[in-house]
Amino acid sequence: MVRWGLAIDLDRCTACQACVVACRIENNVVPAGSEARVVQERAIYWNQFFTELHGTYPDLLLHSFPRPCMHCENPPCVSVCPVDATYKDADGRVLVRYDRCIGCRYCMVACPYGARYFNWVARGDAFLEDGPNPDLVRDSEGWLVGPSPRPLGVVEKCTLCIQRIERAKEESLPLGSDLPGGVVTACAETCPAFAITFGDLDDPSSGVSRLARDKRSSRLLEELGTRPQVYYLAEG
Amino acid sequence: MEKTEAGMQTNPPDPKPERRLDWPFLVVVVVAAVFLALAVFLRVNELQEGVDAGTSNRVAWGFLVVNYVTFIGLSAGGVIIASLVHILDIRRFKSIATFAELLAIISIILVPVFIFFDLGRPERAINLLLYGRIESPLVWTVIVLTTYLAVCATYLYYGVRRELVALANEPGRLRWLYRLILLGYKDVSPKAIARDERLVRRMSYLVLPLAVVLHSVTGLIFAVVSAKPGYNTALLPPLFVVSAVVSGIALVALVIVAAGKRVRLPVEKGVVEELGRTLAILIPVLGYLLLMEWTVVFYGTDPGARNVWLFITQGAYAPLFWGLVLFGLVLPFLILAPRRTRTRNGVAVASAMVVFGIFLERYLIVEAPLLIPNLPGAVRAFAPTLTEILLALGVYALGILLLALSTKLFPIGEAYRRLHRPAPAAPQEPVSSHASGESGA
Repeated sequence: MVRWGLAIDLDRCTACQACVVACRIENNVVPAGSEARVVQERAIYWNQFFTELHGTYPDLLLHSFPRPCMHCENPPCVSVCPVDATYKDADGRVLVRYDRCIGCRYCMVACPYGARYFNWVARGDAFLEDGPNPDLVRDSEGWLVGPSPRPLGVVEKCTLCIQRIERAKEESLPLGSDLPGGVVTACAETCPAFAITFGDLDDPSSGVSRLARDKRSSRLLEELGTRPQVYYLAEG
Repeated sequence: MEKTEAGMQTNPPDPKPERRLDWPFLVVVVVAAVFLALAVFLRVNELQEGVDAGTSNRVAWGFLVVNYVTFIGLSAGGVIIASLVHILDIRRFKSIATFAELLAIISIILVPVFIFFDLGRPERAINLLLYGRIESPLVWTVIVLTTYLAVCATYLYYGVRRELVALANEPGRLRWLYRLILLGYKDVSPKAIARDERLVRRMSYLVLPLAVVLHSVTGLIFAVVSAKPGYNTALLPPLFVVSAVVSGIALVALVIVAAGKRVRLPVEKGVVEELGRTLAILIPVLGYLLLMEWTVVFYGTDPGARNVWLFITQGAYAPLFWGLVLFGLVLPFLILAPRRTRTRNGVAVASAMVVFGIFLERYLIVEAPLLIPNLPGAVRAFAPTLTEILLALGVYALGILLLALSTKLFPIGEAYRRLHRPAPAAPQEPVSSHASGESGA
């Protein structure tokens, strides 16, 4: 079995946020849009950057980290979905069937990481003409799960760049950060500091599973029992 | 003693034949229809342009979900009252049981409308049936709500069948309608009536637990979300059951006082006051549950639920919170507990407060836990937009429309009064029945 996951080394992270931009371009995530949408927190970030200030001046510590979908092993968003539109696939990814989702937004309420986003407003045609990634990925039952422009009124989220992974499988390309020329997610490929490692957590020899076992390794909100497949390596 | 008096009191002085336009009725229907049409227009526009609401990616559920929860709760009143009549044999409520049941059914009908006004892709709602995932509390809701609506409709039908037959036997323009609904049923022999009553009584044993299940499931929608402190408490289902019963009974009392005369409801004397007394007993139960929740939350050191309730009691939502305490608990109890203030009007005022107070409770419970993020970030207040409020008003308007039309088309109260009229009034029966047969048209 394959279980795709990420390891993010916060010691290497420079907080440049190139991963956030690369994700947008790769996955046709709408530009944040008007200021109003950002202020109202309706902008979509499959990979969102969080910063947190600890302490008081002059003893400050700025903690920052990117947050893709955690692709939990025990995903709270999946069990609440009333129409089975979101599910855990055979490769350990949490996906959304865009053409089945009814837009009830229960999964967004259930996700502790805020990794799920709703298409609140219609995206302008201008965006579609600007040449988004034309890739489409359908699951074994024919439902749309890949990037493509998502319709208005459905929930969307990080797919661990399913279009890249599936194409690499078809073309028998190497997969994962360990192999030379291995296909990885857009965030991992872009990271100039090599902070993001993509690979198979079920393969004990892979870089990602080695990092997951590192003593600096931890997961977000581990106390909730969601068992994320994204590991963070602590700073310092 | 009260019974004979009641029969006399509720008889209108002169059931005059109404051939003229019923202006108040017309105004209500037109205004309600305008609001409904506006809401539908706004909604269709939303489906093309996007959702215009105070919601965001973190506060994914807004004003319409608050209303959805509220109206599921409001449906409880009818069921509780009807069950009290049949299970505990409280005869006095019999006169209002069918009307209370009608209010319950209308409240339930509005629930899916709120959902349709809220879903991102309402046209895909059929997926709930095609691909329903049984682990989801929303699917539990679909199953329970559908069953509940079907059972309540059957319950109401058998409860008023005798009156429907009486209406179908009178001359009037709507006789075909009553006959159609009765599907040719004509039997009003004492044996048939006894059989219907027995059936209704037996169904009460089904309807009452079903109501408890419905409100518990509504609470579970929130309670199962373990990531959201404030939602994730086992107290929520019982709290929802009690809130539902309190707000439901208050709604019935309020509508009876406000529109009972209008729809010629045969309300026995003392029934409204009795409803007020029931509320006075139940409001402290609601207060008790909330108090237990707050004690546990504020005593402990767990910042999760504590932050939610600190925000509710001291943050931007403090006015709503004190509104809940004042209008949902304290004031109505003070009005309803002493016999002196428990008058018809007193009960109406207190009931209006309770319905409003419980609405605030729903608002706080649904919205506040969403405002506080799990990951680093600021607390985000939620406020409904005008569109959201107009959509909700449109659904309320649909409820008023349904109530106005159903009481106009089915003058059940009228028929009930004639069938249960005390013996002395019997000679007049043919006259009044003829008159009202026309008024129903």
